[in-house]
Amino acid sequence: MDIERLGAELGKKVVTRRELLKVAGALGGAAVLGGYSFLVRPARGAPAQTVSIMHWSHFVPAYNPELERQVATWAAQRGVAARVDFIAYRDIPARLAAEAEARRGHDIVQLRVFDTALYRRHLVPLDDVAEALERESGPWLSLARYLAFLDNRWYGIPWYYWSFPATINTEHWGRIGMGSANVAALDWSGFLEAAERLHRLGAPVGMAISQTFDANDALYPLLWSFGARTVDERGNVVIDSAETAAAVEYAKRLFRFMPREVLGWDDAANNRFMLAGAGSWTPNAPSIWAVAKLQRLPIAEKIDHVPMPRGPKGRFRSASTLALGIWRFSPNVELAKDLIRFLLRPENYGRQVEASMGYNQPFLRRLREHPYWRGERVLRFYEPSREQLAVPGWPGPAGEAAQLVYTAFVIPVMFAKAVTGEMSTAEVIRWADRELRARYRA
Amino acid sequence: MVGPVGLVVFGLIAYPLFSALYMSLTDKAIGAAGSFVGLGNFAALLRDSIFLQALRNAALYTIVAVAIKAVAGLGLAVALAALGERAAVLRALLLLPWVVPVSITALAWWWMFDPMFSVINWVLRAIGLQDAGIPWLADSTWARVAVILVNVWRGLPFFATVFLAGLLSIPREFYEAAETDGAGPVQSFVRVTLPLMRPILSLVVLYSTVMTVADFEIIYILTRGGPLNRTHLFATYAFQVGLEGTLIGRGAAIVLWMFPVLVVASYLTLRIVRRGEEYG
Repeated sequence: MDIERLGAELGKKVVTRRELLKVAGALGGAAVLGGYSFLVRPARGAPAQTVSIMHWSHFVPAYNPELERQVATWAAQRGVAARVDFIAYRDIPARLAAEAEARRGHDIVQLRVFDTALYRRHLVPLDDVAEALERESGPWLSLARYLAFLDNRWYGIPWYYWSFPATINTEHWGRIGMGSANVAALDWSGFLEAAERLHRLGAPVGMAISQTFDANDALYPLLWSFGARTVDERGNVVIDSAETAAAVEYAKRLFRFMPREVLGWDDAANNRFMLAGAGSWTPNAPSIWAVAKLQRLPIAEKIDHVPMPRGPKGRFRSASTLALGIWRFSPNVELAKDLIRFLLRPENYGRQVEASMGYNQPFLRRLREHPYWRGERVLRFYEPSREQLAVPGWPGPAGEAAQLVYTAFVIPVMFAKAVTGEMSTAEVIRWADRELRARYRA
Repeated sequence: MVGPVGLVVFGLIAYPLFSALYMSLTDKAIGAAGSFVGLGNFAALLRDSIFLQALRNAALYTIVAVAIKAVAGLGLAVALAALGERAAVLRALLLLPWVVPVSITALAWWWMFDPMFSVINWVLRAIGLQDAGIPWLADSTWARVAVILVNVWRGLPFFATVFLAGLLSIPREFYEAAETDGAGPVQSFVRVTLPLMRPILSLVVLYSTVMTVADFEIIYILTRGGPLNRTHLFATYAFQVGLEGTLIGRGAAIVLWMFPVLVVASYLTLRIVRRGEEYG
């Protein structure tokens, strides 16, 4: 019995207690049998031609209305309905999992770093879209292929990423006689000397060495720049190396000049550290500057971005990436593909870049030519990146193991154990080796 | 009446439980069917250093937090009972930490423990007790103190309120008889109050043990299990492995390690309830 019929029945006559119990039982049973799949199907009951898209609530608030506007424009042009659901970043894993399990939910979902690999069984191959976009605005960056071109098929369309150069307070650096250009040229050795001087001035440098995603994005580039890797291209664990030992030893020396609180930092802590004017350097995307500028804080004038220091084996920068995928169970696959192509048109993409205040970085070469980053002096080192871009887990295969290592914060914990003296350098590397092997075996 | 109730019990309790049990015996990843691996997940967890750390954390967190709540809750209840009607406003205020959603209170505490803006550290500095400030969430020992403190702060009103209700239901004649026999306040407490309160004490402690061992929000908001995994509990580690890491079978196995604790606590609770001990 459907709900409308039940309602009609209830409206017709006086309901006895027994009947009420039957109705309650039926509704309760339906709710239980429907389970949470009922809750995660926002499009249910809406017209079949409603295209829904799940997106995180962007760090730069002006981006969300621009995305909504573009989706509404597309929907009006196609004569269909469309909706963007903004979800807190932290809630995305649970939401994706629920939709994949229930095989119901949005048509288009945003896929974070390794989500495309993890959910590829449930995603529509998008070779036609990826190839068309490459013809229009390509080529794709190698990072895009690494994350979304799996088993020779595109399972997601890399949309944008944000990366982690160093955010600096130019006033503090000025007190030790260094301008942005000097800081941009530093290697880790020179950086250590500067960090000591800044520490003595009461304006320390800081990077998260804690169980937070920013810690992954700060510490992997340090590891890579010393020539160390967690795994090789085939997923063999290679952390136990002289290069890792050198990176860990360096972190121990640098930690002496950082606030001890970095061991408990969350993703927003380094933002507060810089916005309060206390810190002089931290690896972060330009959200600190964007917030300061949007809120007209005086500190905005003092903020600049520079590349991460150079190590013996190069200069690296970590990236957080987003791709768009279409669930196999979507009833609107062709419309969803069309919407993705619309969002990646150069003119639309350009407006997204502007709305995000340059935060969003493109995976397609031609889209990188947008003048926004050249116009904002503070973003000149942000896009295009001077460092080699990679994601934590690179160069190993994109998939479950890399995701498990990333979410278990194995590398930040390795560094934390070393800098706090809980274990020697050799011991922490052996510990990390065991943890990595356990996850790459799983 | 039995039908709907049975359906709800099956749908909301039995089905999720057996579903979790089944998943824990498979290598299921989110969205994939998974194959049967027997007790493989449970065995693998015994070799997982983070899980073993979470096991130790859960024991420490639960024992310390429940013990503090029980002792402090009883003390608070005795004080409120002694104050009588004069403490009516206090009693109402006391319930606030318990009725406000935990996610909100945990966020408030997170702000109070913030390394730069901690009001607690500010006070400690202002009164000259601490110059450097306590590294609440940066040091593994202090982080444990912090999460236990928040759990106690949140759970204490429940303990105190239930204990107060228990105290007020003890007939006055028992104390008068004890006084006649020459018992002082301490003797009355030990010989009259504690024995008569035993059922309610046991019930609340067992209930709180179940809730505390299964805690999630406080840890997730304050520490995400850090530093050095020293505050991870079953639920936070299961979330990390099962949802963020997508190994839902392994995640279910992590949660089910709580099962023995919950079964024992539930059995004892039911026994106490069934026994239906009454005063007098």
